[in-house]
Amino acid sequence: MTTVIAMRDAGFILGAYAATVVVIGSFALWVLRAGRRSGRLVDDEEKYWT
Amino acid sequence: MTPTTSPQPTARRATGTRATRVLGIVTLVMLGWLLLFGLVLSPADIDQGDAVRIMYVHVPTVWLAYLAFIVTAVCSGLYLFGKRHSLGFDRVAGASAEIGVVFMALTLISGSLWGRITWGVYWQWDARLTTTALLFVTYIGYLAVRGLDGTRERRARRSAVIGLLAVVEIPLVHWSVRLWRSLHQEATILDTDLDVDIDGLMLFTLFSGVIAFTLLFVWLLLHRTRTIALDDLLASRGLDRAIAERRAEVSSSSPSGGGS
Amino acid sequence: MTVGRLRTARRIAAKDLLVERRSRVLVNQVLPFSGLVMVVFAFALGTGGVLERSAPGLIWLAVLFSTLITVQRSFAIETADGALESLRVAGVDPVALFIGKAAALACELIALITVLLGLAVVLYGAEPRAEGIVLLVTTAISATCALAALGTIYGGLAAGGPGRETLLPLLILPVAAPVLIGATRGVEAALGTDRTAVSEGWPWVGLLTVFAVAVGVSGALAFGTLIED
Repeated sequence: MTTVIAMRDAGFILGAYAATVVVIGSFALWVLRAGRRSGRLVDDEEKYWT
Repeated sequence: MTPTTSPQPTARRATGTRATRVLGIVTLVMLGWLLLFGLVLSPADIDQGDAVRIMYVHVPTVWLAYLAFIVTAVCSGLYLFGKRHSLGFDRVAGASAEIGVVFMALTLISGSLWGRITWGVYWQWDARLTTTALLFVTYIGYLAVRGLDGTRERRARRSAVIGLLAVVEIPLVHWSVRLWRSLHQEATILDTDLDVDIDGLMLFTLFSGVIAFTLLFVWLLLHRTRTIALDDLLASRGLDRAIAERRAEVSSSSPSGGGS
Repeated sequence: MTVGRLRTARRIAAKDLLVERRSRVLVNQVLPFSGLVMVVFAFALGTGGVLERSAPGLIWLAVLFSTLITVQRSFAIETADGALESLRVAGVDPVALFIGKAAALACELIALITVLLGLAVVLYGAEPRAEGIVLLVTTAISATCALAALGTIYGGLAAGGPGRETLLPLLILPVAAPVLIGATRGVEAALGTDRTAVSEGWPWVGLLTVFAVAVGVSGALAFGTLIED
């Protein structure tokens, strides 16, 4: 089980994971924030999930 | 429910429920798991070396992007051909497409980084990549159509047609690109078919990735669909209010108090 | 396919072509534009080698861009004075409406491609050869039918309203990719570019035809829903 990643390729591999984390993280945050913003403007009775 | 004269109104809820919170935590754990195994604990591939680690992220994102677009197409069909034309399907279709576009963007990013290591180039004009890129743009177009002005029903109808047309067109696009590239001898030097001799631990990591991203998809879908439902409600509420205000204007400006 | 429907379609196609004949937008604006595009390609790509080898692709690029403009025009005449609305409300069969508009568009595009092929002979040195003529003609017809069907569907969607015209290229171009690929390969085979044999072009004509039929049928079925209010 090698944990040594070739120096040359490390950048691309970590870059791919970093991009994934950043993109998914920001999207998830945006989703939650948009939900919170809209949720504030509507009464709970009208939300079908409450 | 609480009377409107209550002095301390309770804070209104957002799109989360206990179920989504649990789902969210499980998803985070699975994603962390994937990071651990993908980057550290799983072995490098015999042929690809450590580049295979990108696959643990790339493969799930592409599967989920396609799943998202299939969900969009199915819901588009259910909306269009269903007896009641339930807008709920339209909302799921829209939310799923948004998520699909994000996943597809990630697919293209991770894929090109993988290609840079394995082939030395970020991009190749082969059937799979080209179709993926076109699919990406097609669904951006779908989202643009959803952004057009109009009633919810019009938006739903238009995007449902576009969503279904996309499903008809994608196979045609794929076949034409495949035929094109197969006749071009030069491109096949770099083999784009993944010929990975999958070791047990690698397979396990791959599965974890697929599960993690599937949970993520469901979590995102639930939240987005609920938010779209809220926005639709607010939009129609805003419209009702505008109409009511106009009526109030009319009845207050006419001295006899007549009119609507 | 009822007789009445075909007759309605023919009337609508005739109407569109009559509007074109009277206003001459295709002749006065679109044609010069596509000619200009062909010239401008030469500035970008340089002369000789590249231009001659790319000629088939450049022709179809010029056609594609011109299709976008022509479609805009085709539906602009409908939204002005609410003509499309009136047709719809009057109960005109949307399938007939689709077929009529697509047919008119196809005629205009055929005229366009004929001129552009001529221009390519002059500007790019693309020499058509006798054995490739049939392939050339069938490629042109199947490709323009596919483009006409695509243009009518997405034109119907993007017509009228603010901020919609710019949506048309975004919607059409990804879907038009197979047409661009197939038509270019077909013309390459017909002209013998890069030593391509004529026989290599026929699979592409097949693809273009399948595409045109698939899009045409889907479009005819979907058109009513698309222009509905």
